[in-house]
Amino acid sequence: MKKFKHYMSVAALSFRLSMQSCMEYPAAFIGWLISNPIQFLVGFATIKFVVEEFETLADWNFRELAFLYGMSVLTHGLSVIFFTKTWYMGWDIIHGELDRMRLRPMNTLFQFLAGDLNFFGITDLIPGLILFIYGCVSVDFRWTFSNTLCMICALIGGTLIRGAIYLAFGSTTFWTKSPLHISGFFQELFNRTNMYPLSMYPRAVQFVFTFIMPMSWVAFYPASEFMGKESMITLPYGMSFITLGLGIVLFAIACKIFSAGFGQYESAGS
Amino acid sequence: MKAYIYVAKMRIQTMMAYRVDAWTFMIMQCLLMAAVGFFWRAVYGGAETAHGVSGDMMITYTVVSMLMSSLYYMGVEDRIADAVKSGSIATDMIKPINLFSLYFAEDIGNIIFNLFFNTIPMFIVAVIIFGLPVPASAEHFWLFLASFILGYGINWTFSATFALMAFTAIDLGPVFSIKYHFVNMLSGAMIPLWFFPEWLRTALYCLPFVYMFQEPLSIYIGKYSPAECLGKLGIQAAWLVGLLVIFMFAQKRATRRVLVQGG
Repeated sequence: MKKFKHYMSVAALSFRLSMQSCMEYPAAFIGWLISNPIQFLVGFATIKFVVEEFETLADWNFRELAFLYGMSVLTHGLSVIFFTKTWYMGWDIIHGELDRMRLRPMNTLFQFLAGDLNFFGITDLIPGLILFIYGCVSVDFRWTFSNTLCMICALIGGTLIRGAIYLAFGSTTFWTKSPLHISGFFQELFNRTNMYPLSMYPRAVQFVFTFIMPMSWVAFYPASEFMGKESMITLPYGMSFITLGLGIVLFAIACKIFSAGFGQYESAGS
Repeated sequence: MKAYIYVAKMRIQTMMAYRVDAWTFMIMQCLLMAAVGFFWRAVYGGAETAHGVSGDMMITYTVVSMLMSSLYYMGVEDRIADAVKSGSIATDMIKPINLFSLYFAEDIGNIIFNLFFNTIPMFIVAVIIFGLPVPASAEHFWLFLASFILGYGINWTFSATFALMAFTAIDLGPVFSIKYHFVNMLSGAMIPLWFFPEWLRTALYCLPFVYMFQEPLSIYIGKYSPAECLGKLGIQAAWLVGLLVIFMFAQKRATRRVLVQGG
């Protein structure tokens, strides 16, 4: 318990530091605060204009799509706060940034993730929250106890799935010794398989993103349960719990990969 | 001229050094292309046409739009911003050739590189997934090509003028990002403007963005008759000249007060 408290206080401190360093350049911060939401606005406008013309997209109407989009952007925003570090971890590894973490009496992965919480992520989280609230209102989402519980599980699970993939692939640098610029690729994949219904793709593609690279569980499957939509897998109840379970399992695997890589890694000199 | 060809060649060689980046970028673009293509296929569903455009025409529109944007890579933007920030603008300026012609020559190098490492592979992927994106007719294809070149000119001049802001403001990251998303939306690169509400469409036709993507693409899929196409090319040319005049004026003012920080 005492240990837990200690870890939390370190995380809080680092969050404050990151906030302060952001505020050092308020103009840049405000710039990103304006520019980051725009990409989601553009994506959202696409759905609005086009789907209003055709009425549905793979059996989803505009309100339901807004709900799905909101959930997806919100998990993206959360993952930006907690896991941005992993997007550039290749650089940190080859520049030997992780060495000093080894010397401190604390879990390395915790230091790595919490040591630099990304306050900038708020510029992604705000549009996520706005779109999420908009989506919930437009489908008249009922905040009953069970719905709320499912939603929380889905959001945590979705954020963890995103983080796990970034962390696992970022950790490959421990072995390859060269940074992999692949986070943009995965972000794009996550967005394409969750901001729009997966059921609009050919069945082979749906299969891949359901079972082989289970990325669609981030928002698509929980949302389709809430909206009562047919998809490749239709369960009457519990999609959100699968999302959470999957998030925890994938994240645990990613942590193992990180530790294994970190264990055998012999710094980069300099 | 020889100097510019040399610059373009150097640029291609530099890009060759970052081939892996180019491949990852290409894969991402293919992914985006496939996703947008399937989006249109799903959204059309049973519908025959919308605004006189069929689902297949829309997929052609998307594929060609993606191919165009891979050639529309505007290196000039980051180039100016980086050169001002790092101070290397000073050495660029003392070269015995015009500064912006130098950057233009570099972008020609970029086009040639991208043609082989982006556009052609993407084209192959597109043909495999969606079939050959056929133009409306041979005539439309040649008109499209002319329109594409004018569109490139408009895009380049606009980006270069925009990047001149780097001479006064220093961190342009967010500004470029805003510009990128706006141009993407307002030029019809992602969705054609005929899906937009009437008022917005009318407003956008008064801006140069539609002449970067929307109009060349509309020509390609045969939304206009050849005679109408010539009219569109005329408007594009007028925009290009207008933007060039603004650019000439702006670059004179901007370069006069270069402030190189450190070295």
